[in-house]
Amino acid sequence: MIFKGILNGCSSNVAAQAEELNGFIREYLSCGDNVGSTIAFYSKKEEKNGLLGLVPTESVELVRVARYQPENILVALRTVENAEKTDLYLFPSGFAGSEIAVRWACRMKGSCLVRVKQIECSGAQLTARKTVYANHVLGTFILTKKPYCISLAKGSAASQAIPIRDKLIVTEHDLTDLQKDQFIKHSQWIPTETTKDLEAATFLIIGGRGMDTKENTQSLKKIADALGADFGVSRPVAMSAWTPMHRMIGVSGAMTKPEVCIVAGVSGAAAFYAGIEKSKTIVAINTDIRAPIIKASDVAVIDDYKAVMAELAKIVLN
Amino acid sequence: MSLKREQIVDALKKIVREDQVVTDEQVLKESSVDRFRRFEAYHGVYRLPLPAAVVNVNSTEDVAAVIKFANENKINVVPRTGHSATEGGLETALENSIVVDGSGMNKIISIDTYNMQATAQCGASLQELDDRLREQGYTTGHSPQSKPLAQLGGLVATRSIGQFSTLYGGIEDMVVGLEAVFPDGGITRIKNVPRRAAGPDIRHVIIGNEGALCYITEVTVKIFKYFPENNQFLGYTLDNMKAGFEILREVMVNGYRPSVARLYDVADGSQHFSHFAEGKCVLIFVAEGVKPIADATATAIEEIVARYDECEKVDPKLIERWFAHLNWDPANLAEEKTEIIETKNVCNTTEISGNWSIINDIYEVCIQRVKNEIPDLTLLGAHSSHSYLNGTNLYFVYFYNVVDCRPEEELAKYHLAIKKIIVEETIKAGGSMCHHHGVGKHRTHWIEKEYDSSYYILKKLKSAFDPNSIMNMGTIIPLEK
Amino acid sequence: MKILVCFKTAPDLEMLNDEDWVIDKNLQIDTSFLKPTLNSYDESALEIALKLSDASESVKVPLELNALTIAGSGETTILKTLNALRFKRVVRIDSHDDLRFRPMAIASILAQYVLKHASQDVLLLGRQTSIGENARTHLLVAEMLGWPCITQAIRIELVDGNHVMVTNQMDDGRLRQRIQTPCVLSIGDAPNTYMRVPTLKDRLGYGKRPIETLSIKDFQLSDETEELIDLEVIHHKRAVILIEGKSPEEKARKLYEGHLKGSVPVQERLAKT
Repeated sequence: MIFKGILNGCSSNVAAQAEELNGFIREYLSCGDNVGSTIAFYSKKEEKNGLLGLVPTESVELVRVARYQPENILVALRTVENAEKTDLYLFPSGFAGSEIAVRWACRMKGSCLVRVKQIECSGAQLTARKTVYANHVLGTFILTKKPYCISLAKGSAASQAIPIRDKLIVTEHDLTDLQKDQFIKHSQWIPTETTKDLEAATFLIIGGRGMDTKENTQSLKKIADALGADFGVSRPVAMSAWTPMHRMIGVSGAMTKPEVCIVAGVSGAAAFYAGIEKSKTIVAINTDIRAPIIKASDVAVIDDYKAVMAELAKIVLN
Repeated sequence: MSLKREQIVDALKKIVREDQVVTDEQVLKESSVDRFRRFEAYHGVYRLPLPAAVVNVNSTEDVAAVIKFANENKINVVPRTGHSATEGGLETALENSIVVDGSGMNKIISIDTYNMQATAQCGASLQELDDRLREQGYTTGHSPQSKPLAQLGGLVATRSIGQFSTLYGGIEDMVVGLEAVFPDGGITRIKNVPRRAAGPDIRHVIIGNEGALCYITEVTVKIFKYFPENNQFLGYTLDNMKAGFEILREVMVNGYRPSVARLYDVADGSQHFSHFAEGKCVLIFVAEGVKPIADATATAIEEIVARYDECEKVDPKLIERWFAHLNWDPANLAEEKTEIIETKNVCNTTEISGNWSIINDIYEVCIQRVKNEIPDLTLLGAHSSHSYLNGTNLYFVYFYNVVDCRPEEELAKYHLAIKKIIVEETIKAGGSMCHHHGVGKHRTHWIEKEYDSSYYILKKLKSAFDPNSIMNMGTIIPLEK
Repeated sequence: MKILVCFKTAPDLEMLNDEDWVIDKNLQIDTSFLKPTLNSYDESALEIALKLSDASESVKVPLELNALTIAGSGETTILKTLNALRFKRVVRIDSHDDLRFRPMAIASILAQYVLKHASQDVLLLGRQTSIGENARTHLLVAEMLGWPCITQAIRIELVDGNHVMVTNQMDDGRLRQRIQTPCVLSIGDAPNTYMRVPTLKDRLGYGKRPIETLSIKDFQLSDETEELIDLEVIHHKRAVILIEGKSPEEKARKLYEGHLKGSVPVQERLAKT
């Protein structure tokens, strides 16, 4: 199978994308019949050299665009792939990867699935698995039409660092003058924190709706800071704007894998749990013994999280 | 000379351990209210006097010592366990009250399956007690919506009732014996016997006293054998409440005891059953117990309902599943808070009771008047959930948008205005203004009308047991102006 | 400006107990006994549309709000609620088909509705439903209509009759863009977007307006390019150790001694003090 991995070099998380792509390729596409290369988009000149160290395949097409803008990226991809007979496209996890994957598949009349956890290429067809039913169920799908366009699920395969290569075949394209974005009259970029830190955290403290107020949320964060832990929140907390969005844990936020994860006042919906399921040790603190998180944790304390966390902080800091 | 706050706190710290006396400001604020004032509390508005302290008592002796001290110094005491009250019963009506919280007294002392009794301290969780009993094939039979939060002391103090009352009765039918502390610090124990005629039934001085006469420290309740495998769920849709009341009456007067007999009007029903009962009233029955009785009850109900052409049967599984998710849980309540703050849409209730001959009229006139007189309603309905030989209850449910109104004005503009209509029409018709939530502090205005000449007995109880006026003042009996 | 919010109802899956997660031989999970609620992203979309309507007068941009769902005849309460909230047209496309994993079919219906039945300037959709989690419908509609699509929109403001200001979330930041309509906007995690509740008066008045019903048979459905072949319930269970104690402080101490003290992150933290 001929496959292409896509990297969005316009995004600051391109290194994580590359390692994730590399891990996915090693896990699912390492048999000899599969031949792959990479297409990497970037916008700033200074990003180019950095990209060369992030290529998980032996060859790469570097495509310069004005900025990440889906309508232009799709046309750029079409230009680069014009005469190619690619069977499978792998798009990065995250928002950009998923939206391009879907639209690309539509234009190429191929199959598409977003947030794919596993694939299996057996003979004529591709089988892929992703979560459905709010992360309660794993669905298996057959992709029937080539090119298969999939975006990866965060944490789908163990990320693998890119090996240093002595030889890399590079082709360059400059498509900075594409103008499929005329419908945009004005654009303002607002950088925000990303979920990167949470996803790399080894010690995580997460607060849920049981924190009850913005003030309590800030208090728990202070304890997390004092204990040297990163701080995350469940979706209801982020949706009440008690913290900025980048602290949200779960399928539409950060997918973490800490050594130790303390979860306070979180009931534990499946879509949240996906964000911590790779934790080594999960400690749940909740006043309700019937909360779903309890059964899915390693250690549970049924009590008021404020008193427990305050005491924990006292012990560690003294 | 009344003591200052600091003096009260210092004295309390000598009576119990220092760490049992809580003076954290947020805790004090939250301890000045219960669910009645939740709209303003969610907005951080606390208008009532802050208590001097919350005392987390660990034993009956703690309770006795604290209440004796309060009595000697004429300090208002608010007894509390689960903090799930809805009528203001836990509000601090007076300055520098002491909130005595018994939720730490949570031991289940004994489960006696031979004499069919279970004894637990006042802070024992009903959910925990019932779960423990069910593991052994028994149940308390008591299942109010607050079950995951409520504790035995408060459940007895408010004369609470649960979803299966039509078979098992209200709490007053379940209590066997009690222990309570009276204002003079005296500890009173009523023994566990099946029945006696040794003077009036003094348990009823304590059951329902809402903390205005004494502090309940221990409760013994009956337990029942539990046969969930025999449960039969029945549901029907129909067009009007009048027919629904008639069916309920038929079932009751002929001697059948389903554990659940509920009638929802269209509006209240739409919240729960719109996926199968759009625009219809809904009747729900659950028959339980030993198989012959459960089966006979279900069969009889089906026969009774079959005589009413307008009733259409509903898939029992829908009823069974709905029932399994009816109770509150902490996650629901936390979600409620966010939704209320964002949408400014609040739900409140007023529950009343009346004989069969008046209940439909009460329903109709209340719905009519509230609809016409109260602004910004988004839902107004009612259901009957507890039926008796001679009548039933009505649980009015109403949602309203809080419009052009500061949080502290919400109660007067909406909830209390609605309650006034319902209470006055009910009393006028000859019904009772409080079916099972207790009088609290917001139906006291009508207590004399509720009791008429028998108010004499209520007043005497108060003056006899609480001569220094320290027990949860403002509850049941209004404060003197 | 005409805005069409396309929404779906779904049961609250967190209401299902462990025993309810049963997959039948038709790859269906029975949730019929649960009351349908608004899919949470769609609820955000509806409330965002209503907020635009609130602003319409002050910004002097006349707005027409429409809502559309593809659903069976059972659940009309939400449609009546949207009528009561003064959506101009509330449309139900009657269907009893299994559309859980058919974003191509749904997108083709929506595109045809816009092209043949009622033209629109903005299509608002939630980013995905809880059941299918396809997260493709909005993008497919955009492709079928040839319209731009902005995903993960969290804030929309009216500019004038032909432009909206859209703030959307990207992987490492946010974009605020002034967009010319027509366009498709898909709503992501937008804070503070619980849908408001209509008054009884509005239910009696606006709520009684007819709901436009079409049939799925009136549309040409595009074929899917993927096929569901299996569903498997994911079980999250760990060997829970419950920490007992007389007080939260005692439990905290036991937690620390028994489970946290020896862990790598806590050791690292202790090393710093």
